[in-house]
Amino acid sequence: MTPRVASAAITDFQATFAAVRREIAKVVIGHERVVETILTAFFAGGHVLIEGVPGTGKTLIVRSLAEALNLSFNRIQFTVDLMPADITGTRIINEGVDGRREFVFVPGPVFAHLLLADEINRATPKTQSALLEAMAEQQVTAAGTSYPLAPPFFVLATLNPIEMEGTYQLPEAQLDRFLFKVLLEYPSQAELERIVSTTTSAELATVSPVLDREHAPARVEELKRLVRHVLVAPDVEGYVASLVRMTVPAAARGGDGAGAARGGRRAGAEEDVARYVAYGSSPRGGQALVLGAKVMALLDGRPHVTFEDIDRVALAALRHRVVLNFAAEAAGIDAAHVIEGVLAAARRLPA
Amino acid sequence: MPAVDPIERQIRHVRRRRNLHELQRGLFLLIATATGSAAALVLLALRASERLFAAATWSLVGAVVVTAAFLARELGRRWVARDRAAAWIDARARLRGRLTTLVALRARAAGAPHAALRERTERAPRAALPHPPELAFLPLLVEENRARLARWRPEHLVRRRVPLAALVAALAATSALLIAVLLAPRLRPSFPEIVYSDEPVAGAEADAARGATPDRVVVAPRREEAARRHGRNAETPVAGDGDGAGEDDSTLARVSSGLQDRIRRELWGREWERARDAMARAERDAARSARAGRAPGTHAGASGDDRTDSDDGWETAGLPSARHGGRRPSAFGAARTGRATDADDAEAAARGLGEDHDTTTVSSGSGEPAPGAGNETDPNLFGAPTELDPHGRDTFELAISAPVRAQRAGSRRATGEPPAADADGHPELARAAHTEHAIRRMPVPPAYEAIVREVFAHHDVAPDTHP
Repeated sequence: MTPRVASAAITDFQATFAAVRREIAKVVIGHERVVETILTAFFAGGHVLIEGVPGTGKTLIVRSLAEALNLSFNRIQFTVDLMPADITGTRIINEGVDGRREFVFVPGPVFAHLLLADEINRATPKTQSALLEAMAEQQVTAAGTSYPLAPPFFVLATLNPIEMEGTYQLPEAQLDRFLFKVLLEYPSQAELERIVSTTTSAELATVSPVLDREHAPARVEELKRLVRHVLVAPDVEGYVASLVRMTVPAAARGGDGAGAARGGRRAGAEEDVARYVAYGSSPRGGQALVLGAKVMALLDGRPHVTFEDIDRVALAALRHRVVLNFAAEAAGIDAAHVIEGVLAAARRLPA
Repeated sequence: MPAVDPIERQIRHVRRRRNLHELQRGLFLLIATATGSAAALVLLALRASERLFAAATWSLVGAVVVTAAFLARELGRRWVARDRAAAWIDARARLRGRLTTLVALRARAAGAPHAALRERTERAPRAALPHPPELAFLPLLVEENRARLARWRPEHLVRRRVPLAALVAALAATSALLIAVLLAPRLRPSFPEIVYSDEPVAGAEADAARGATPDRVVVAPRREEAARRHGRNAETPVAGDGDGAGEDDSTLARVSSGLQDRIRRELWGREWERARDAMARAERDAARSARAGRAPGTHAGASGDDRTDSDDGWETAGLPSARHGGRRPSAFGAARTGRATDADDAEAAARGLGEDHDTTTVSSGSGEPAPGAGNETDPNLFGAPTELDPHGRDTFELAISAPVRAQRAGSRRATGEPPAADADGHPELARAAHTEHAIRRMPVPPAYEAIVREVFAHHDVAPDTHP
């Protein structure tokens, strides 16, 4: 790839990204950072878990994204009685015109480019795992037959932090399948005023597609491939590795004492991790950091990742991977606090 | 891929310039610290007491050592190593990781499986260079770095070749040291006039004020030893102008004391050293007298006890200045007859004679010939002993204060010491004596010292053999 071609590809990526964000912003009031994180995960090839109270625009964001990219979109409302086949599809007996009967696979709602799994924690683990297999493998298995999902495949699952009774908390292994987890904050006063004004007027805002329907999937895949080409220096990779490792309590506890030797800040972060973290990030956390940072680099017009890119996506990439213990809950410590401490300590450490 | 040679070359230039700058900075600051401390040390050596100088010396030595260690640490911290050069430039020129990434990825590519391919294609036209898929953006990165070369030229990142502030500090400290050395003679304290006499100083009186520095100090042999004293005097180590009984004999104290003496000797000359020794001897004698319950100004070495205590057979007394109306000691007749020699000025050895050249007899009023005028050996013939290594290459000054008579005509410089008042009782002896001229000092190589002393030594001869 010559410099000219590479530069043009980066510019094209920036333009597409900005156009999609602009279209979404027409209907989604506020949540700019959330939209950017979701788009980042989308182009990085990952899935997103959104936690937010009902009515904050989760469905609207995903629907708008699908409309802007001109991709197919499905929504599944997870309930306790939802079965895996309700997601993946099922085989039914179909009688042909000649009277012969045969099993025919009827694809479920998972067969879409963009899927909104609303309140995923209300379904049973069996149903959840059906979706999670599709997320990880990009395919669905029904009656021993695998059916690949058409790329791009993007799942945006939501969690309702209230009404936790009768819910099934996602196991850590399944949480790990999501590239990012974002928190959808309640809109501010000004945003709320704009939401009320925009959604109740006679003329409703609509999203215009950025890509044409025929070429949209291929175009999105091309952009996703471009992301993978972004260069990462070894020291940045080392930084990511230290960051991930520092979230692991065993590493922080067992340590070699290097933390204390290197300075109080790192020692403090290690102490927090050892005290409040039950499970640290998996290696997938590192992959999420790098992939997200690559998108950030492209958005900044750079062909390489910097430390700042890593920092920008660290919270979204590690928040759901750092599982806190009861001590943290009792002390009112959340994952963001621990991750920020780790970031501050690891930021300037030699790789 | 565009060539990266200009980038790597510029990295080397920047690194070289930066490190040279830091090296100079460290060096200048070290010079500034060392010379500044030396200037302070010189001033303290000249003005401060021995204790204060010792404390200041070791404090300054410690400060210099600590500063040197700190500067070395700073130099190590600021030194741009080869593997850190790109990151340093990146941060300074705000390249946002471009240069660091390029250098790191090139280093990695050199060891990657694609290295062989890369090496093979290095010889191909640049435009046709293939790249491993994961390095598809590398040409763009190189291009971006080349486009930004102007932002991190060596002269931009390290603006000055020479660290001016450190250089100014070094020059200022060096100037301070030079000024201190130049000002040193002016800081020399006024020592009393040192008068060497070959007559005992019994009856000498010091200034009435106890402890006041006398205007003159006479150094003379003890009465009993004056007659039998031949050859050179045994030198007694004399302490400096320290605090006497409270002195610290530790190695550190000795080192600092030696340093202070050396600085003073170098800057104030050997005369200061002699004056210091004489003063120390006078103070010691005065202290001894005080312990013995005598008047402080009286002759200290006259008593038997003191003779026993004394270890060199010499005594010293502080004298009030004749110019100031003080009483002249009777024992100073030796000086009046021209035997007193000022160690500073050999002219003083003959000044009494010069003013009294028409009365060339050696009598001091008692009818006795002056010591050494006839066949008696002048006990102070060779003056004060030298401290030079006799086997060294340096020279020493041999003071010959033989009782000679200068026959020079013409006016003489006023010396303050009147010539002998009495007429020569035996002029026939004087006529028979050899005409001698004052030979006061001459530089003689130390190796010849023994020979010279032997040649000039007076030996007892039978009276009838004298012409």
